[in-house]
Amino acid sequence: MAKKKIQNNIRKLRFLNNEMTQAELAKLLDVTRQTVLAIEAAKYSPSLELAFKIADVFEKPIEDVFQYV
Amino acid sequence: MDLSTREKNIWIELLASIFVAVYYFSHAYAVGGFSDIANAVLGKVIFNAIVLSIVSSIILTIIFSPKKHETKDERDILIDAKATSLAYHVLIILCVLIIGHIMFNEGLGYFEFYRVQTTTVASLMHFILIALMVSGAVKSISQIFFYRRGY
Repeated sequence: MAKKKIQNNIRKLRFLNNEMTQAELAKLLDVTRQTVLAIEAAKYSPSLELAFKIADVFEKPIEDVFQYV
Repeated sequence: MDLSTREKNIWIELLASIFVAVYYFSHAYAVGGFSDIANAVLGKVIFNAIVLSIVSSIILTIIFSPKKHETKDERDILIDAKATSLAYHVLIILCVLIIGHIMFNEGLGYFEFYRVQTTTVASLMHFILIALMVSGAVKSISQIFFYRRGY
């Protein structure tokens, strides 16, 4: 069975949200810019709470932000 | 290289401890500090190592210029926990090696083939100091690795 990975659309959603910067998103989420960068690059899987917070910032359901494929 | 404040602080901590370790162990060995703890010159070396630690930290802080304060987020806490766990295992292994060395070298008379040197209080102190420094370095290096590779 092929190993699944968590992917995300944060970069696209940031662009659609007035080209929000990583630093601006980090400030809204109360994390460092490096953490946003790591999540975006799929190098770090956020906690469920942070994942919901990200979805909340973009006003999208969580499945529109993160996919397990 | 784009380093976060936390990464910069880890580099400062790692480099300062390497400078101090190199200075201390090279000088302590040169003045015979590994065989005699009550050596007046060793006291001077320890004092200089403390001064070097403070000065190198200040200089490295100026070079890296980290921001004043950055709160830990969940990734920082996770990386910190993973690195601490690795450092703990290294420390345990080194402590077991030190205990084994004492047992084979001093405690158990029938391991004469192993006896390479008499374990002095000073050498024992330095072995423990090395174990602490190595585990500290393992923590810093693994933190840097996890921040760079991603975790």
